[in-house]
Formats: sequence, C-alpha cells, structure tokens
Amino acid sequence: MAGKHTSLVFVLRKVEYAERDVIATLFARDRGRFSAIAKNARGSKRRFGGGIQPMRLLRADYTVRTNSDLARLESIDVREDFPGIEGDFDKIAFGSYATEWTRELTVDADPRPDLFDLVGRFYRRLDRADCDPLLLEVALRHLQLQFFRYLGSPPNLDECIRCGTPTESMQKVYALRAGDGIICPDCVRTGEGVGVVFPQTLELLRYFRAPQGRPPDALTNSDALAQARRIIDATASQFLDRRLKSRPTLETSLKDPGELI
Amino acid sequence: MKSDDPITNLVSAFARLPGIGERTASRLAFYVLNEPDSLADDIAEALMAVKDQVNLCERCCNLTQAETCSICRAPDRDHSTICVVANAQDLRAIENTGEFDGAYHVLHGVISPLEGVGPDDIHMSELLERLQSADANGGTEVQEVIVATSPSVDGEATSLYLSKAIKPLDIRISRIASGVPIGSELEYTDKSTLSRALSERREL
Repeated sequence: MAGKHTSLVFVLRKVEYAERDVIATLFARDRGRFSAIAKNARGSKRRFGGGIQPMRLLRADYTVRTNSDLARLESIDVREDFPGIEGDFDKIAFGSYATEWTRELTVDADPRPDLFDLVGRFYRRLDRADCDPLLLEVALRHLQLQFFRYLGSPPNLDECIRCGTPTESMQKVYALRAGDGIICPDCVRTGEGVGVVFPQTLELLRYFRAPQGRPPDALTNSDALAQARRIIDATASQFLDRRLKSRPTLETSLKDPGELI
Repeated sequence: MKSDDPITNLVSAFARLPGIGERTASRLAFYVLNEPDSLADDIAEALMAVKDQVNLCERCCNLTQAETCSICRAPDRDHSTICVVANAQDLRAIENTGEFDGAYHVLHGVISPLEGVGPDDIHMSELLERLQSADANGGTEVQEVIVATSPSVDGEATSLYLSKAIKPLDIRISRIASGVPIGSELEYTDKSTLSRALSERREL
C-alpha cells in the first residue's frame, strides 16, 4: 500500500549502504517484515540518532513506494530500549539469536502482531533476567516453542502424534527426528528415525513451553538439556534450511553446550 | 564465474564492492570504457600499488607501508596505553582530535553475532598477545586499554567480550564515554542516548 505510514517496529537486520545510508530489515506489528532504506542514517542525528539498532522497539515513519520493494524510512523514535541486554555479552548472544530467528521465520508483508508481541516480551524478559545462562536459555526456548505454536507446527509433547496415547501412560517414549514430536513404540514404523526420550527431557520441554514457577531439576541435567535442545532443533529444521549465523556466538554463551545439531 | 565478455567481468568486479549494486557497477564500467585509456591505467596502477605496498602493522594491525606503522614506531608516544578501534578510519578520527598520545590496536571489524562475525574473525588474538607479552608490544608492558568501538549493539558486544578477556590480566580497561553530542539539542536526543548520558553523568 503506497503512501506514508507509521508503525511500531523491531530492527531485524541493518546493513550499511553507500556513504551514509542504511538498509534495514524491519518487523512491523501491523505490516510484518519489510525492508527500508534510511537515507543519510549514519549522519542524521535528528531523524535517526543512531537508533536503528536491533533489540529496540521503534516507532518508524516510512514511505512505501509503488515502484520499489524497498520502503523509505523517514525517521524513527526509540519507544523502548533494553539496556540490560546491551550491557551483557551473553544476553546480546541470546537476543541476537532470537532476532535472527525472527527474521528467518517471518515472511514479507505478513502482519503477525502475535509474533511481534512475543518478540517484545522476549526482549523484556531478557532485559530483566539475571545473567544466568540457564535462565536466558529458558527464555529463548520458550520463544522458539511459542513461535512453533503460532506458526501451527508445535512439537506434540503430550501424546503420541499418531494414536493419541497420552505420554504419561507410555513406558517408553520416542521423539521423531523430523521434529513433529512424541511417538509411542507401537506406532513407530521401520526406518523412521527416532530417539528414546528421557522423562526429564519431556519435563524440561514442558517447562520451556510454559515456564511458570520454580524451574525443574531437569534444567541442570546436561543430558536432558542436550536432548531438549536437539528436539527443538529438529522442529526448527522444518522452517530453517541453514544454520543461523548467530548460532556460534550463542553456543559460546550456553551453559554446557554439549553436542548440538 | 568469469565470462568471456570483459565488460561483464568489469561490471561483476565493481558490483563486488560494498554499496555498489549492478546498475551503478554497469554505469562505472561504461564510464571507464568511454574515457581515455589513462583513466583505466591510473585506476589499475593505484589498485595494484595499494595491494602490493600497504599491509597491516605487525604490532597494531593499522595500515602501513612498513613492517610497523608510524604510530608504533614513534618513541614519544605512550605505548603502555592502547586504544582499541574497529577500523583505520576510526583511528584517524581519534588521531584528528589530538587528545590521545598512546598506541592503537585496529580490530578490522567488530563482533557481530547477527552477521556471524566472532572474535576469531577480527584481529582480537593479536591484541590479546600484545597484552600478555611485552615483547609483542615492542618491549612495553600494557597498563591500560581504552575500548573505542561505536555505541551500537555490535560495538557493545565487542567491548563486553574484551572486558571479559582482559579482566584476568590485571590491566585497566575503560570504554570511551557516550552521551549527548556537543551542539545538539536535548529534545531531539533519542531515549537510549539520554538514558546513557544520565547514567554516566560526571560530577562538576
């Protein structure tokens, strides 16, 4: 829709262009993902003032042009910043991963206020959290599982994805490597890649899904944590066809990174 | 992949430069083609010279034509204080202030998790070597490191990483101040800058 617009946005990526311009990938609450050029952004103190940064909530004034995929960012106003994130390397690592995750799992011109609000809640949570890598990871995994839910493909953690038997009544539980969730021994087909899931892993994944109250002891069980990460990664691989660029930095900030996919 | 068509190759070569898209690359290529041969000769010669003669200072990674740069060779500078900058342009900006008489270290980039740039992708290990051994710093032990990266997320990530790596070495580490730019008006200053200016206020 050509014309002037104002939206609440998060910056998902920023690339310096030519002498003084910036091209930003933005995620607008009412518009979804789009790219915009900010002319003279590196020189302008009034219109941009160095505010085009990831992990900040901005009010952006921009013009959508009929003959271009690239909108023109006219000015921004920082509505909310997260100094707690910018003041801690591990939080920057987790925040960057979540930002890239959002960039990869959203599509252009698809307004998703639910995902936008989810990302905002994640940044706020990260901003206030203690600098404990395990607690930061809980916030990240919650974000990922919520993303899967909003995108319509959460891994099923409560029952066998084929016969619907509740996981509580199963002696042994498997996870499909394709990332769909839990499957019971009776439903597993020959040749289907599966792995046995520890009960603590399921407990941990459920906590990631709804992190209320005291974290379960499984959070400090490195085997359960590693397995939970692999199950989330398997589901993520349905949406991502490459390893995220921010992943190596994230891995340096994870507690007990173990063997990751 | 190289084409048999020299014009296509030139356009592709220009398009590899930062900030130059296909259209601009094409305009530059045809400009060079329509100008006298001397322009192409001069450009080619300057490009080759810069690649042949300019290299990184073996101590601070600044750009130089010698083994060590003029700043590292200067006997009247304080080599026990190192100012860490992202690139040679930032070094020049600080030199132009005339306020700093120490040495530098040029990282040639900043840590950028979103772009997949980690500490191993910039000249961080050379800096840590200088801090750990006086020999790697021309015989002078380093007493202080000033981190002068931009106050962006990537600049902060770099500064925080350095702080973590340097703290155990018992070397003083500081970060350049950030806040309201001189000559600007408070009402037009963004929230983040003002918050930081307030939290890092100084006593009068």
